[in-house]
Amino acid sequence: MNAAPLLQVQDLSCRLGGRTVLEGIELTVTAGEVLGLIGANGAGKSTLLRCLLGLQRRSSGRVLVDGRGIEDHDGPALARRMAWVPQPKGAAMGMTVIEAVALGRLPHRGTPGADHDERVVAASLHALQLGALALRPVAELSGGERQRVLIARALAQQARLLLFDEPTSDLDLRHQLATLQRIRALAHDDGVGAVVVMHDLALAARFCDRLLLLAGGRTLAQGPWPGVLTPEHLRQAYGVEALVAEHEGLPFVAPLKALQENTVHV
Amino acid sequence: MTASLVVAVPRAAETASANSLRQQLLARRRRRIGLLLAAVSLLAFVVLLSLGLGSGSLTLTRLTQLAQPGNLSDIEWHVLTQLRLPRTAMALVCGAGLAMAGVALQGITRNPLVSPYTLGVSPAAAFGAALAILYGAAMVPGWGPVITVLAAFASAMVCAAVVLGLASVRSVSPVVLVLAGVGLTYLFAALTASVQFIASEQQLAAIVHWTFGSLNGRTWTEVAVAGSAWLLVLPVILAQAPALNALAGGGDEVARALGFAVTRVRISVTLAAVFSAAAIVSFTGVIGFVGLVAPHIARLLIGGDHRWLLPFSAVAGALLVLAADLIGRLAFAPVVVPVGIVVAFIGVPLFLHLLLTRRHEIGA
Amino acid sequence: MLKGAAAWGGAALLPAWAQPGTQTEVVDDAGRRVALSLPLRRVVVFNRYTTEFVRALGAMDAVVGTDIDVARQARHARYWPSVTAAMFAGSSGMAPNYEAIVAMRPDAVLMPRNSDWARAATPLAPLGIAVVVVTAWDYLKHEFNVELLGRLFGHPKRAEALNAWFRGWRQRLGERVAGVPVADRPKVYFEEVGDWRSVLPGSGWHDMIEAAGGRNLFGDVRLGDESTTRGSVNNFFVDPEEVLTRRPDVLVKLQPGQYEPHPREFALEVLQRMAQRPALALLPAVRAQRLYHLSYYLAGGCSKITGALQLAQWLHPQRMRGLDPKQAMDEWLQRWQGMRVQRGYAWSLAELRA
Repeated sequence: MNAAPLLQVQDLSCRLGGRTVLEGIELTVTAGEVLGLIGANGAGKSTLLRCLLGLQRRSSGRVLVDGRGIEDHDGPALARRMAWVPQPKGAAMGMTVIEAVALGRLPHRGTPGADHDERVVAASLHALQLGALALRPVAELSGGERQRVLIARALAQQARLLLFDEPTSDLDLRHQLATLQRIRALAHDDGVGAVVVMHDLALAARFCDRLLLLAGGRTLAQGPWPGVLTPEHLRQAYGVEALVAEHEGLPFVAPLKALQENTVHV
Repeated sequence: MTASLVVAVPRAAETASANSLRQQLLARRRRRIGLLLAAVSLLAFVVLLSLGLGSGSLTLTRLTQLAQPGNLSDIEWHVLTQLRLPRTAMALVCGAGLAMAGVALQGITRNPLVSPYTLGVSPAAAFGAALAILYGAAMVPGWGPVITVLAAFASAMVCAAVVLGLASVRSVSPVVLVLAGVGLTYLFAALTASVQFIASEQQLAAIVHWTFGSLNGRTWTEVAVAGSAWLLVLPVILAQAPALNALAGGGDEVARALGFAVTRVRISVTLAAVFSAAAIVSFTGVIGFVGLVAPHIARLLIGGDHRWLLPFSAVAGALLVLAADLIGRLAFAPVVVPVGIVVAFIGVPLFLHLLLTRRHEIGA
Repeated sequence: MLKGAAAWGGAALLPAWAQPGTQTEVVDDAGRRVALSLPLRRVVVFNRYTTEFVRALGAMDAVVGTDIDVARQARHARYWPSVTAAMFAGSSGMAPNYEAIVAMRPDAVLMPRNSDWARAATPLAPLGIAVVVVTAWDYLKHEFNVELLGRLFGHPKRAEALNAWFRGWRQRLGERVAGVPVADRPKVYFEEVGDWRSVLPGSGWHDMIEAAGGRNLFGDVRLGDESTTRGSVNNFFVDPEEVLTRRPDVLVKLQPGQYEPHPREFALEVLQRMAQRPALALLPAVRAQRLYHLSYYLAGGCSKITGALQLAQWLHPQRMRGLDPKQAMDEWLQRWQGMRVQRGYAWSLAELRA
């Protein structure tokens, strides 16, 4: 595995409308690993993702992709290194599946990689079993299918770093499993580095190599799941009393009861 | 450092379906080329009709004798080159320019109701001309028509500046842009109505004439100016086709995540679109439907990929305006129905027909 | 009802016809029968042509309201010295200001045929204000309307004098051009405000062209039923190619204008630009400089008789020898309007270039 990190975040802070939404975030993602971003609503997970992508302006700190700050890459070059899989609502209406996936090749315009456009798009479609749906309008697809289209688009970008924003919300159990297995395979088999924002703790623990728990805009804990998903951390981050257990190698988290408001650090 | 394929090359078992996909894509590409060629042929045919039909002795048959020089009389040659050709050329520039502006504006605002008219550009031009007419500037000997055109253009660009100002504010969403445009449309329409209210009867006739939109009596000078403006912005808009696709595919943030400087794209596209639209309507008057309907007709036929949509809608717009002018000229000859009126009559039913038969394909 | 009205504030509030006295019935230009107490003492007049006739009859002191906006346009104040800003009753017959009209306490409101007279009766009739349709721009109905005005204002002799004057000129004109065979009647391309905007049968200008011994270039075009369109603004856009194909003998540009004539340079510029239009440049008429600049003001004078005379002189210079249209216009201005004479209402391109 390549030792140089794909993504480095140093002391990142973000203030929005007078409030400090993120403070002092530090993280690293190397090739072949999946980092899960977890935390309560409003803890700053989506904001952090957008700061990484450069969609949200940060107040301080640095975000380095392949060793260079994101502002130092030009737009298309950054998009060839880092791909975003947003939530599928309202995406790519009025297009066919293949057109939506082909958008992922746009950052390669004018580069030698553009010669492979057709092959890469076809490969991306197949990787997500979208071959039969290729000429269908995206508007006609189900939520799970649309999710796959967005992942295929990110694959078509051929970026080593993939950022997923809640890829499992609005999906049924079967598709949640499929999506997360796919993400893990991309990392472990193809050497992609992935950051995945999630709210389901058990699934996060199971499919991510490391977790980063955000509470009140700060890193509460970071690392493999046993060190992060402790009852004390969950009390602080979610304001719940919870039971964390391991059964046949699979993690389980069961919330027991909600605590008083003032024990939550938000 | 070249990026290696992240995803493995498809294995043999999947190659069969890969091939069928390729077949389907080729078929679609062939279909699109066919559509484009058919549209261009139809346009060429209508151009021929436009050059060959009229009240004079220059008929279609006479036109075919053009191949042998010296076969047309002086008058016929004059009619062809000084009356019919400039008129036809203006119709092409007007239709293509307004349609492309419509596509571009719809693309960056992600709103199908946007056009140069609904963003206030055309009504603003009408207002500028109305002011010039009201203050008698239009009657200044020698400069009158030029002043009117400049006033129309200036007014349209003021409106464009407002629209542009909004477009460049980072946190302004396309919805806000569209609503502002609607507001501006109404504002300028009301201002023009106020001018009409205080104008004398003769001024009123001149103002109303200007707001109709007409290709009557256009000269080569006017064609040259309007045509140059359009040709100037043509490469700018075409170059942004990928950006427009990205915006259509998921909005501002997706486009930015794909590496596009969205604000800059928005500004340059808006500027190009309203500039060419303002230049055109400053000469022809307000022709309202082309910028709205031609893009959609094109979209329903050739799809939403802007690399195809932009040229195809230019052809569709040119067809629409030229056909409308032809009908307006011939239906009640020698009286001419202004093209702005006829465009609505033929454009809207066509659009509705396509919409109803193909609405499933757009998923809007 | 009279007692009730008196209770409102006195008989002074009542219009003439509500007061005891003889009532006469007149038939107006729209064929309506209107009962009035004549002569009218307080009248609101819409349309400049009608007001000019009222002035010609010497009855301006009975005018309490007009559509002439002296407050906003100084030139109107010069042309209408007896009209004050307080007399403004609405911008036109299409948009009367009913409240202002009522405040003027008129006996009647005079409106031309091409106005909103049908609806005006609704708010005005209950207040005893009669609406009388009088049209002063119609060449073919001049005498009827002038005679009507004479009766309305109690100046029948003056009306008859005006009619005699009109008839005299019309007769002399007719003598000169009546016998002209069709082939010798020049084809006239008559352009209104707006390039390529010409007149069709039904327009008052069409009648004027015919009276002047000419043929309207587009006189064969029938759009709609003439009986309903007659007198309406029957102007339409025409195809420049049609103008070229039909080969007019004479081109006349009708220019919006008022009592003050256009400057000579202006008229020259307009005609030269017209002569350079691609569709016209090759016409023999243009080469022979048979383009004319005609002010709306002169063209429309006295039911267009002055316009017809001027146009006839351009069309038939030989036949019209000895009959001076400028004399007619001078008489109209001096004798009938009490204004100084002016020149420059009508130019030929040849004159301008000389």
